[in-house]
Amino acid sequence: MKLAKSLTLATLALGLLGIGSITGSYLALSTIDFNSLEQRISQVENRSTLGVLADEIKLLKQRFDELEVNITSHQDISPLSQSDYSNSLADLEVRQSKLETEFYSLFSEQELQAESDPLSTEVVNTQDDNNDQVYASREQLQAGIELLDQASLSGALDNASMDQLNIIVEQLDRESKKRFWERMFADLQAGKYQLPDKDSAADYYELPNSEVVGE
Amino acid sequence: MDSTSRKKLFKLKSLIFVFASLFSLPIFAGTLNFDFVRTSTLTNVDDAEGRWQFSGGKVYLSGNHVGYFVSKKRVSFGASPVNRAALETTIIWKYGDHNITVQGTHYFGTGTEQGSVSATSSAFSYLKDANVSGTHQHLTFTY
Repeated sequence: MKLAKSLTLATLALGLLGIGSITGSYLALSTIDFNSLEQRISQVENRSTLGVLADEIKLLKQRFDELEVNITSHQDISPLSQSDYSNSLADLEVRQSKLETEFYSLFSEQELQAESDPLSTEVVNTQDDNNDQVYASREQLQAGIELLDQASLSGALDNASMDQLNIIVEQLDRESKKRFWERMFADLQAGKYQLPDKDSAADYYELPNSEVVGE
Repeated sequence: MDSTSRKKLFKLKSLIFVFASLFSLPIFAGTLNFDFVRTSTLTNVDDAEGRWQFSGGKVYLSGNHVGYFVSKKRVSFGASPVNRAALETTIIWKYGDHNITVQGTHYFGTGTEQGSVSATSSAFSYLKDANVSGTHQHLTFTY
């Protein structure tokens, strides 16, 4: 009887030891993960204080500070899992990066701050964005903007640059096309340059007498 | 979980919500103003049902020549009380194979036009469904 009792106690002790070691290692891992996540959060927070969205972020943070006080006093938040946090944060960083390169790069900080009148109800759907396409489009947009920058500096947009821009614009996604044309229209309206007079791909012709002249 | 960890968790959740909220904020409306200068003869072609009215010319953006337009209006005896024509105007970009087509109505009483962008080439796809209003000499696109 004593032997059976001892064996049961020993088994329980071993079980407890096992559970303790597993829990310990998990907690240690969690602490490391949390420290790492905290660093990454502060990096994202630092980046997000640029440009037009700074005010919105500030306002929302004030609201969250108030909510935080309420929630921590009531102790009733439901924690997410580690992987949820990591994935969400990675997603945020991609979106933030996209925001910076596609949006901030086109405007000066003053212009971004001045934009504060939301008139459109269109919502950008970032859920379906294919990252590779987004990055490729961003690079193309950047190349197009650089050509427009050169034209602005020289005061002329030549046929070769315009041909190149026509190729580039076809490869952009919808949002990048919008950014590209908005930039070009702004330049044209400011008189920084003019479109070339003759399209290098077009012919001058008299009134056509068939759908394809010359056939 | 102690209160420090709880705070960290809350901050993280808050940050996620902040960014998610940013992407659901309305984006800013854009406008585009084109001027139309007719360079061909406005031509009326009558038939038993009504009248076609054709015109074409140059398109300007703040004085810069950016393209050409081709326009046709259809007036029907069946809709004569409204004094309006069905309108279709296509802007052909000056350089490259880009175009924008507006469909709507033209009111002969004042020359005002109302409609939206019904078709575009790929390059101008972001303008599809943009609201268009103005006159036969000046149209504003709101997208």
